[in-house]
Amino acid sequence: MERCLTELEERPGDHELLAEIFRSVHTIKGTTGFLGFSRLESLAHAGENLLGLLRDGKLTANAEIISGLLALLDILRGILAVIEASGQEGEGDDAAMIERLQVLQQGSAGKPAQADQSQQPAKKKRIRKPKVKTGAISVQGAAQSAASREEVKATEIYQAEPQTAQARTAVNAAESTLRVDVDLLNRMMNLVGELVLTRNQILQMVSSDANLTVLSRRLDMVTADLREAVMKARMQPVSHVFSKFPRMVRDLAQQLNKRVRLVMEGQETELDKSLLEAIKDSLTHSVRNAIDHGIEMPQARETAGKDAEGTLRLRAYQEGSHVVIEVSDDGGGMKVERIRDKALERKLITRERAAQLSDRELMQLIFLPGFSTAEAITNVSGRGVGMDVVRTNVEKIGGKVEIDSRAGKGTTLRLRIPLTLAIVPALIVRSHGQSFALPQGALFELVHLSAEQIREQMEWMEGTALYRLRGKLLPLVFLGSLLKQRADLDPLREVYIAVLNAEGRRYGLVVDGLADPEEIVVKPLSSVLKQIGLFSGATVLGNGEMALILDPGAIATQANIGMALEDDEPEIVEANMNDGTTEYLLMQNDKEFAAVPLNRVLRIERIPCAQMEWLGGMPVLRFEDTLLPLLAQKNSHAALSDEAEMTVVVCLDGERHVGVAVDHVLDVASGKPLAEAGTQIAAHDVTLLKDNVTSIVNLSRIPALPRVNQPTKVVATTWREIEVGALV
Amino acid sequence: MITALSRQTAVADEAIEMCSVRIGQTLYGVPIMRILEILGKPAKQPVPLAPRYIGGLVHYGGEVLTTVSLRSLLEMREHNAVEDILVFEGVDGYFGLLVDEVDEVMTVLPTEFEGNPSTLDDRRKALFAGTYKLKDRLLVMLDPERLDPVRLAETATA
Repeated sequence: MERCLTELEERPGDHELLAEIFRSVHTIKGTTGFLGFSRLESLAHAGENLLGLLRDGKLTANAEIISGLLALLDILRGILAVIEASGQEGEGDDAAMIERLQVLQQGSAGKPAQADQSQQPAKKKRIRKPKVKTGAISVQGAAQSAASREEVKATEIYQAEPQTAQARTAVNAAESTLRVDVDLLNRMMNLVGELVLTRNQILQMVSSDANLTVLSRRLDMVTADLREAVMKARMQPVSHVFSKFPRMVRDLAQQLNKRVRLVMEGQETELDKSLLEAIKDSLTHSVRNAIDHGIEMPQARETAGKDAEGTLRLRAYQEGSHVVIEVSDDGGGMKVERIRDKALERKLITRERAAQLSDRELMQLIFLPGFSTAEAITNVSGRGVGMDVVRTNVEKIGGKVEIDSRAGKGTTLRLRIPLTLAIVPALIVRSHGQSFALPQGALFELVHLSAEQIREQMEWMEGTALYRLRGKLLPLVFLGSLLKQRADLDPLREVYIAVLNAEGRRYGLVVDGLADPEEIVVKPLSSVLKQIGLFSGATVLGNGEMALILDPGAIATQANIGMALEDDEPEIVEANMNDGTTEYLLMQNDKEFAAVPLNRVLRIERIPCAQMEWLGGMPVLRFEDTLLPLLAQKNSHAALSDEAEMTVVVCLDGERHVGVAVDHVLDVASGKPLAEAGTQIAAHDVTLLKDNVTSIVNLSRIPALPRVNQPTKVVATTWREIEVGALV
Repeated sequence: MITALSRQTAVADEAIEMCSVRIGQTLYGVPIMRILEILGKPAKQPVPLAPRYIGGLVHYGGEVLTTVSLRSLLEMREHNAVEDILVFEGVDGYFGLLVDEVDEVMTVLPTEFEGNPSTLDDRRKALFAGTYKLKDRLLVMLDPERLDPVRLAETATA
């Protein structure tokens, strides 16, 4: 009905629409009177009277009337909620509302109605008659004396009309669909998870028997299909969330004296129910923002040569394993200077840093906590909690938020949400012999330190451990001591540092060991264990072992990790998704810059130069029993002393892994192809990064090792593929 | 043993069916009707930083089951042997109770029941519901409601 009312505002003359609304209100009135809910009945009656005038053309729907009707709808809905909870209507004074509706009826009835005065008074009579009758029935309530039987018949006929109309459209859906309890779906999902585990165990055991292998493979396929089917059952179209926006947009626009047209696309796009719930608030906030900050006042729009009515576009579509929801407006766009000034004023960023940032990078600042450009705190927005919450909520479910804005043209906010929440990619880390799952979303890179490197490279400041990562100090949190598994670091063992970014807080989590990444099924913890605060859930690993899921944000809070405000490397990465540029890892060798595409980078290691060995004139690195072909600059290796260290960027070239030895790794930047002067042809292996012409390392030119029997396969499987590129 | 549970259904009306479990030398009893399932020696995963009475997590029918260790509740020394788990329905979903071993099913009469002796220490008074006098020994009654981790967390903070 809400939808109808907002539509009515657009097409005030639509008789069918009016009739539909009228019927709904009338049905409410009839049934509530019958059931003895007098509050509902009298409200519905007042609304019906007003609607009756509208339908008969005595009144024309204007904004005032629609507002009144919407307000009525809210009250009705409130009472219904109370009834649902308690079975009673609850107390409340509706006189004001009823009076408002009556004033609307009379106040505006004069002028537009005069023109229609001549319009068949007979018709009016006919329509009003059954209304009076239904009123009579409801007064008599459930008693239903024999005298009123005739009138009952009348109402039944009257009500039959909408019911058949609705039934007709619903009939097809009803035949092929079924309402299912979400609990049942969750249970099914669990059982499927169980089946997957059992399957994994069976698959590990059947290798000997050929018949069993065939059978188990079929089991494997059926299980996979079943899992997919159950997951699909949990999907809901985004229209469930979208449907409330027409009303919200209308109310907001009116409140702010703006004119906004809402366009919604892709409402049929489906998303896991729990995810849909999780992004609801973020989406609402984004829409509010777009209307409050994005779309300008009608006069300003006209001066800028735009339609006085702004357009807000909500668009949902699937892209690979993600659903993208776009909130775009054709408003004034984000004013980069203002964002910068505000960020400086609120001390979210230093002046030096601000000077270095590009426009795109500056736009990302709006996601910092405490950021707001609104001059005054309004009812709508400007309380300083905003975009950071949007981002946090979306990131919590493994999604990403991107923003794109052009001055004078408008702003597009893109929420990128994974298709399902139930399954999350995670890295399994080990601490003190116990496995823990670390969600990949927060993981940026992994650093391996041998016992020797721990002594040399881990720096201590009054008991606080730090690690110098590309020249910056990274605070370290020891998982073992955080979980009170042991007092301090065992000096002999090697460790891994998982570099995490939890909602802008960067730190390194030190763990004893790593196992392979896994797609884990998240199970909730009981409330007692939730109170510990460091675990977001638990999961069962492929080997049947249980693992607690670490919450990177909670760990950061517990360890007092602050915001790394100046280090918005990940945001830079997010910013450049759309314009065909590629992300590169920028490296420095002597005075020369070099770059490799970021999505090819597996991990970055710092190792002593002495570890580099030569094989037939070719530099290689040995890791346990695997060899890594290396690209080392001719001029640099001559100058190297044995104590010096080099940085090796391990990259993926097709299936093999290769290393690029450099002095430093500088940053991540995006580059566009450069064209040779006078041509349109992009120059090969050269790009423009941070205003420096940079050569791109051609990984395939690194010579392959002499092969015996597909040695690259060995390399590929023994190397743990740590996805630095996962952040893109 | 578990099949024995289902066999004994028809008994005298007043007789109560008890599942007896052992912890150390003591025999404890839990009304059979309250037990959803008995898990025989499953692998459990310790939870760092959890309250002491939490015995760890156990995989149970696709869910993660929080278990309560009766040994640590009674401030007894933890032992390393694998334990049996009784599954109950609690306020906040299912929970498990770790016991040394599930013994047998027995029937007791209400006339054999007596409340907690006043000399029992407070901790135990809070956990035990009383005792049944068997022919040659005592069967200490456990009330699953009092062992619910949610309830235990409340009393621990209070």
